Amino acid sequence: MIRYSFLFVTLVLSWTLAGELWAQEEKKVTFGGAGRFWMENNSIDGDALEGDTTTATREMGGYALFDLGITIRPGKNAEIVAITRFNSELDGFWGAGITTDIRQLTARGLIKEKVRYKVGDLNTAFTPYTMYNFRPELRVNEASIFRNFEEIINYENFYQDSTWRQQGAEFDFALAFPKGIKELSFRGLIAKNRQTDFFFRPDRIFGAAQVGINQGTYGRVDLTYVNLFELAPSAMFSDATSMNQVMSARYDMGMDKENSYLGIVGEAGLSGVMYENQAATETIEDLEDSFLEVGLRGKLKKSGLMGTLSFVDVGPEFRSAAAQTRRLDVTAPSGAFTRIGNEERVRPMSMGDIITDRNVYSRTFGPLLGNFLPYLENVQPFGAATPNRRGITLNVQYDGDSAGIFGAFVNTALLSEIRGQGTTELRDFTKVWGGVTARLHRIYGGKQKLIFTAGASYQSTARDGVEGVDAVDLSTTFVESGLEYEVFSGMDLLGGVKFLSSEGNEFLNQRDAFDATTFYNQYSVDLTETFFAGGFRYNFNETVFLTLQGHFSTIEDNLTQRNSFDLNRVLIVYNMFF
Amino acid sequence: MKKYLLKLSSAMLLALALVLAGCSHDDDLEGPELVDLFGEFEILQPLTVSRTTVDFSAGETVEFRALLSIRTPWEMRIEGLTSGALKVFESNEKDISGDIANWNGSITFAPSFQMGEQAVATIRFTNYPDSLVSDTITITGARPVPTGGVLISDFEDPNQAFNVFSEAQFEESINGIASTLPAAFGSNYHYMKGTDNNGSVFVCGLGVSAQSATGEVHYPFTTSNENRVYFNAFIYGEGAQFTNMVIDFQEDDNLDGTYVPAEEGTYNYTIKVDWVGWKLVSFPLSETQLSTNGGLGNIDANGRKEVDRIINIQFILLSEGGQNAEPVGYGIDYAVFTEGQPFQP
Repeated sequence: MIRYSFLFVTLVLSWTLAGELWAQEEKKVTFGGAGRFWMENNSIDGDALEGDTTTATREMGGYALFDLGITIRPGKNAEIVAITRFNSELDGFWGAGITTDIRQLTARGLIKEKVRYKVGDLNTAFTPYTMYNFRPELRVNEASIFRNFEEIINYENFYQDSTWRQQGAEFDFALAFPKGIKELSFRGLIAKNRQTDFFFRPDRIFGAAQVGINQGTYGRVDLTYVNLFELAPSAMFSDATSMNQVMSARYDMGMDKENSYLGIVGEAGLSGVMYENQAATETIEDLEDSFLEVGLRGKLKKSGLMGTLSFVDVGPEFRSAAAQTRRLDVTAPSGAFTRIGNEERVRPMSMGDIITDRNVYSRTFGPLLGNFLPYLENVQPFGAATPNRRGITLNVQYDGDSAGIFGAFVNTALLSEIRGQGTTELRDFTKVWGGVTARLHRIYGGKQKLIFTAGASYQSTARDGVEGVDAVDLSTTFVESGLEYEVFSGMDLLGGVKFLSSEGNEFLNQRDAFDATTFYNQYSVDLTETFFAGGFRYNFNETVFLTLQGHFSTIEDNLTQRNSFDLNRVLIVYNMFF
Repeated sequence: MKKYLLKLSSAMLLALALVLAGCSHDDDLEGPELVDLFGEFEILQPLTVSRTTVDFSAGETVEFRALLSIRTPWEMRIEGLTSGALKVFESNEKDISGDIANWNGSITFAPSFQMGEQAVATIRFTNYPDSLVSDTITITGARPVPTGGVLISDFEDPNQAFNVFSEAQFEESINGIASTLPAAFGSNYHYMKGTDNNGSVFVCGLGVSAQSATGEVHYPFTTSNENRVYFNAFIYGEGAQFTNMVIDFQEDDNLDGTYVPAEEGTYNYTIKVDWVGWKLVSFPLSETQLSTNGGLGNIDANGRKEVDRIINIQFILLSEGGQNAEPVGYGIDYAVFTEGQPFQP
């Protein structure tokens, strides 16, 4: 009989994720937080306002906010973080329009230096198919002038890389083994995803558990289970519930040599959606399906070259709420000139809104596949876990030469549908995207930074027509570029441009409350959109800056002239994280 | 190196097994067939009827049948050639048959079909100019008027008390019992008409309390299930495009026998009255929404809809958009609650 022995891994209180407000010093009480002043002057013009006698063509807005975070350490292995937000709209003089909110309350600590726990507000992610907040559209390889806005949007919406904000409790611990496997780690999470209305809509809970097996030499496997479910007793007058479970195995195994790495990476698993006691008269079908991603990854360490060739197969009925919810909410109203025209119609979302507006993003995840704009993303609108996709992806990354001058990447996805939507013909998807970053000052040994960035993507969707039904033919080209020049120490001259052109047609699924497709809406697009930005930024230090920028956004919609407009903006932002 | 290749081969085999296991999916089509929605429109089978003589008083029905090549919105109007009575069926199914085209002699627009008269059905399509006409159907027995339900008012009792109100007297031109038009039922009905001169949208209204209608404090139902209680009434439209009707169901949440607008809930239902004639309107109370008027029923003391606490019903006349270019108005007749199913005269 073989006897195994193991030890609890001694843990330290270092659950820190990028940008999280945990002070590093070991003082009893420390302060952290953020502050921002934002003032913008917008103007709108163009065909959309032709004959419009009601819309003011210029508006000024903004806000000032201050997030005060206090970290209290009552003991060596415990911390409490409370962040209070004071927010004042720009025209909220003398107290009007000023609000105070609790932005975060979290306690964390160590039990016997073996089990880490965290309760309250949590920023959490697991794997790309179980719980993952994937990056939104229009950000391939952003220039510095645009990245500042993404940092603000991420902070405002509690995104930390790929995490979702939830309220609950999380723990982890690990066991170390003398031989065989190196480490066995355990992680659990229980969180409240939605509050009941006490009558018809029950509480929704998200639970997750993960076991990580780290072999040490040849890699690791993570077994993950997540479940988004409803508690019927929390609603007095309805016992209807739904449940979405996902199980997966994520693997990263290979041979790590001195100069190279070759291995297999990917994830495979199953999902199920179950409905119970629904009042709807139509037949509601439970959904069950599987997914698989398996790739061969190679790395040449000296050259900084890395590539992954993967086969992807995500079933049509694969559902994973926490991995498929989109960050960008295309139904959200835009902040500036929300309504235009004599009939006060909602202004179409522009590239400028997507890049800079913190209010057009989702803060939590839900069980239904969300709306998306096919001209922005049609290949994988729900991230890597987009259902009904099968094919090959290739990612190649060049980390840079020894001087750190160039970095580049190029990705390709050649996918097709697994199940036809309303027809036996399947859509074919092609997407190619890549970017280059060049630190030009290192070529000539300049002291002032001169950084050039460029990114581009091309995507197409095609499906043959059938019996009088139009074929699908949709393509989108997106290009972005930018320059950052350090005029003198701390002062940057910034410029950037994003350009998008899309043309073609599609059929959009109309889904019911149980995610079943009930109809298709015909969709056509022929538009170009350009977004120029330029300005100065003074960096007081790495986390505090003041910037003055001009933004010039143009949408030319050739199918619907009333959706064509120019939106220009002068913007002052002072932002600090401390 | 050999050992390394062996391990890599094992991993590849494992991956291959995962590929084979993972690639099996249900390959049925997702959603409705596109050719059914966007294909070429053709009438594959003309409109036919299951019988040309029908006795509705004996429970007989007429089934209409036709077959289209695609799903597309259509409307079938069955018209009484003597009475002018009208029954309307609407759908977008391509197979016109069964429940979606089965007529039991009921009406959509008053008056009722008469014994001995002839009726003809015509189908028209929203997106195509074609039309289909049925054979003539002879009605040998009319459908009896359903009995039962909780009558709110048929406006025939001169002693029933009503509460009529308006925002400004000069906006309201009519708000009372009338009989100049042929009524949907009996000879009297209530009519409201006016012009929104001050842009407030509201013109005038009519209130009917449970006490006035039934002699009880609350409208009496045998169920408290909002999905099973239907409101029904004939509404007369003039075809005026700005006429909106709001029906308020006011709840006595604390059961003290009075309604306090600032504390107790009002659930309402809005209808755009854009037709001409007496149309039968029916909906379950589950389709009503909590009022959004501040201080006028937007706060429900109990936080939920309770149909067994409805103490008063209001019919409101609104002028959409607050315009004053033309007057707005509608008539009401035979307002009744039914349980289990809508009123089908």
